[in-house]
Amino acid sequence: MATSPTTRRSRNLKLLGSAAWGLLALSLIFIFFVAREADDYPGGGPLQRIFYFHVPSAWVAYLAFAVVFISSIAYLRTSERRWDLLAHGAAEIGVLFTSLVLITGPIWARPAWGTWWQWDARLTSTLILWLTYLGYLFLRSLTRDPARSGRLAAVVGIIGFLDVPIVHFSVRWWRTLHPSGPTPADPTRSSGLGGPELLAFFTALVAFTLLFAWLLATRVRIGRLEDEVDRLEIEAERPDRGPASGIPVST
Amino acid sequence: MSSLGWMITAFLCAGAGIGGYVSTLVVRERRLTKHLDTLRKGS
Repeated sequence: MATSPTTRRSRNLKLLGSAAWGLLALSLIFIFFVAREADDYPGGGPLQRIFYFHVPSAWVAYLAFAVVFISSIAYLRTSERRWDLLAHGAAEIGVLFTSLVLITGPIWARPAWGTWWQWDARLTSTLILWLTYLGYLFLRSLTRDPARSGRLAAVVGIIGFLDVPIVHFSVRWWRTLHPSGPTPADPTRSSGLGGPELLAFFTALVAFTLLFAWLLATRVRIGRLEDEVDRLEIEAERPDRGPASGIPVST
Repeated sequence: MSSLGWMITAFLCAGAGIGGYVSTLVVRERRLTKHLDTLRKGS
């Protein structure tokens, strides 16, 4: 029997969710039971395990804001509602994961550096990134006209993305307290991770990436449902005027 | 607090953040689906 595209999409989403949560559970086993504990220096010991979810959170935030950037350009060019929904969902998830970065980082820094926060380039540029996309979400909530808020938000989404390379390369461009891994200028610099630690790290990285894909697909689906509810509510209020105009149709 | 304590705190914060967001998505989707069914039946 042939399945409808909606049923197929729903089944794929469930599969993606199962893979993401399954791999996340596996990565927790690797993080806590397979990866060896780092030497007991400030920031090392059990504290070093924060790295296994702090870095993947930062990666997902980069990925999410890259999706906002691309979708916003596509929306400004085409005005298709699906790009706006994608950008909005990705921004929400990006803000969530940047929040996690900004929470788990200081929790590591307090015992490692003796302070919660330093106004250094990496930390400050990350805070600016978080505030920019928080502003993006706030801007979207200001108006009920989806086309207007979509266009305004798209501009902020594109400009905000300029901070992502600054966040990433800040540890190379400026002298910062934030640890950095191997760089093209110093490729021999060891990350200090052995086989089990790399296994835990990359499993967490893939799990977080799948989780991002699942969250984004779910968020976009909710956006489509919201559009459909708005459309039907307006039609119910004005039965004599025919189909509602001005309500975006998700494609 | 010990290093282990800080690590557990960070882990719980990350879990609460992701778990909280997922719960809001699930609740929103359920509420919207239910509301949509009601609207479709009414029209």
